[in-house]
Amino acid sequence: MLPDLVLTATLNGEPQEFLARDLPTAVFFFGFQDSFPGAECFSRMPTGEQRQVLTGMEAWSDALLCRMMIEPRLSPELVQRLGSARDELVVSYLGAIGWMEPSDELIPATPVPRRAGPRHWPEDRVALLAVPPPNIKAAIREIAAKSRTAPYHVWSRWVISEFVWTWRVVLQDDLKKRHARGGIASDLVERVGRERS
Amino acid sequence: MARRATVQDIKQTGEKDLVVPGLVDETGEPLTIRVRKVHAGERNALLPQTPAHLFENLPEKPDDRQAELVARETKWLESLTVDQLDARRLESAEFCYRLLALAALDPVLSVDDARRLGDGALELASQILEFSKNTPAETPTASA
Repeated sequence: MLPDLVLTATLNGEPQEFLARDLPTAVFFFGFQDSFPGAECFSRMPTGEQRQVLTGMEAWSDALLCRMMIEPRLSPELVQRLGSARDELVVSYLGAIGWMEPSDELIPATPVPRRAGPRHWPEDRVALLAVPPPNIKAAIREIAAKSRTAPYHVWSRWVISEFVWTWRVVLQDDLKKRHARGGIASDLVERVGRERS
Repeated sequence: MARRATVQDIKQTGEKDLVVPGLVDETGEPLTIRVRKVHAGERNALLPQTPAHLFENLPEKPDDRQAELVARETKWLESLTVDQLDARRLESAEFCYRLLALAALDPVLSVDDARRLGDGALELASQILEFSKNTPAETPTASA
């Protein structure tokens, strides 16, 4: 598990710090869509469906901010008042957990010792019990099988940085080869831990 | 030097009173409307959608990227029928009213209410977009 992360975003020209946590995998993916911009299946969708996915991913990003932030705790109403800082915080967080390359345009996240206290919040329980959409479900199953553990263990006990790191180390090379041979890989497989290569 | 943000910071910087163009009370004082910031995701959802493939595999360099995007978009627009272009124009024309309805806190406005502000809605929408960018605070239009 990563230490807590100090993210910096700009509010009316002033840099401000926000303290975020490394989320359990289930809590990170709660509300995640089965496709997203950049995925192969997304480009094949009709425009109306693409819009639904985009709206769903925006709602997921807003909810992610509420779930990941330790201080200040954010409500949906506060997220709506962040303006461009909302996007800075989401991008900075995704870079800090290894999901994507850290943005050159943002102040890098700073790790700080984890704050004492419970790591799971009462509202996390809903996410722990949710069954993920098909692509995420396949990803969880595959990574659990390779890691010789139960899918629910990956879902509930692994944090998202651990999931992304394991994905890259255990599966990414195999999946690239499989895809090159014309095998069918899920879109998540191709996009998790997006790299510039 | 950055400091830890508070809920109060977000509330204070996230809302603002804007003067409604051309609207005054009985004493001639300008009237204001309370608005909140709008983030890119909310803003983009109000715009006519552009096919996702236009944004795929764009060049890394910002200038090349922009030029390529404009070229692709132009080509795509040229492929649309007159009816499709008209529909797109109508949807674009609604943007400022929908943005104002989304951002208005006090009074709460419907899209129809926003339309009744005419060109004033356009000016307010432009101010909301600028305010949402989080650039350094200028002298408040009405109050922040």
